[in-house]
Amino acid sequence: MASIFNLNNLRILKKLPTACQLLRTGIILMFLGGTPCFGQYTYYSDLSADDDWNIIGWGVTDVTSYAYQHQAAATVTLRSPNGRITFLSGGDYNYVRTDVMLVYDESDLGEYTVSTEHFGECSAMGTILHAFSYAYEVFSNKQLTYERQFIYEDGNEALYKRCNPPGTPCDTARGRRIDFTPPHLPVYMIANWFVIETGQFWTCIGGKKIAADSCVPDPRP
Amino acid sequence: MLIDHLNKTKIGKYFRQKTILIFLMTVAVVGLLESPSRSTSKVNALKMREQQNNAPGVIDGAVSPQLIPDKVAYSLLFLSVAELANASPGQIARARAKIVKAHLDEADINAFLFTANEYVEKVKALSAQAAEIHRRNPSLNSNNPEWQRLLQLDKQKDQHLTSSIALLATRLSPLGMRKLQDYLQDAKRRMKMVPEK
Repeated sequence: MASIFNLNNLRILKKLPTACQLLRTGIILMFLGGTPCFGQYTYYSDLSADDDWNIIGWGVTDVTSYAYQHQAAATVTLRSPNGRITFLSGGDYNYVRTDVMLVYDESDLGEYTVSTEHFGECSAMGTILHAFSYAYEVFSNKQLTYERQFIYEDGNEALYKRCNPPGTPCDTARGRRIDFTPPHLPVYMIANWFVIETGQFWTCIGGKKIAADSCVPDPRP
Repeated sequence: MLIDHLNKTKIGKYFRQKTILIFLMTVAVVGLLESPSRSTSKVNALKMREQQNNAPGVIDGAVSPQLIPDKVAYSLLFLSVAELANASPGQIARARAKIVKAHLDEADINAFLFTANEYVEKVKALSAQAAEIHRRNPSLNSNNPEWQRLLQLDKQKDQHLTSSIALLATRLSPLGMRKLQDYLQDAKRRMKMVPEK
């Protein structure tokens, strides 16, 4: 099989234009899919992180038509910056969601991508959808400093505001007595965040909090 | 279970045939176009470009998010986060993680997930009814009286979606609703839609 694509073989080189044309036509036909059946088709890929800082990715294919009893499928692939990959396929009538996950690895932070290959089939007309979608996010660790603003009525929790400088992403955080050793509500604290950085705002996912001596500096801004 | 399902369905055969074909063609294309000196990142870039191939007539939310109706976006969000009533703690954590970028508070997250689960339960019930009708009528066509019933189910699904979106406004705080709307507009950039012909 590999020898067919050996470019050093002159006889094959002479045949390449025809082979390439056939190949290209085949690929185009595959990606165009079949004649549309009835209904509206929607698809979506996204990724995020859970409280344990694991990266989760998912893809949704929705080709619902109860009259034509469409079938949907989604193959989702999640890739890390260092090349860790996980993928999964799922299929069902009308719509399907497929979820994948990569566990947190502090040495593997940066841009993660999720891509989904979406399929739809109509019992009456065959392939109605064959398409791709993808999304990406940048994940990082941040250590930011906060100053206590006030203690809530029950005395076990306080609202903290980021102080270096104020008004920046992840502006506020809550600290509970039990977050600190020994249990107390310090005037200053450092919060370790797992941050989803892409987009206009950061999304800070909470981790360990420790008491600090002052407002500055951010240990890992 | 899903793999079992795939093995049994037509789309499973489709998967197997097309996967093999795509794999062989990808190997061929890479073999023809790529020299060994090309970096892995360029291969990834090619793959990403390939992934941007859209279905015919598609509205790409990354290009025109304003053309993706809110209703479509809410439906995809609901399908993304919904879990079964007996979901494990891990599945619940996953559902919460999927909405974390909306920056909702605890009560609003719970209200959103509750509404999404409620909607998807209704959709599953409609799907089950449709499957039963198709089971009873293997060669169903538009002349069959049951056909109207199926079309009615499609309408019911649409009504459920409309009422679920309306319920969000009553269940989430005004601030939460604004944040959800902002998040929805952002999420549209990762959604695509082929409108009804």
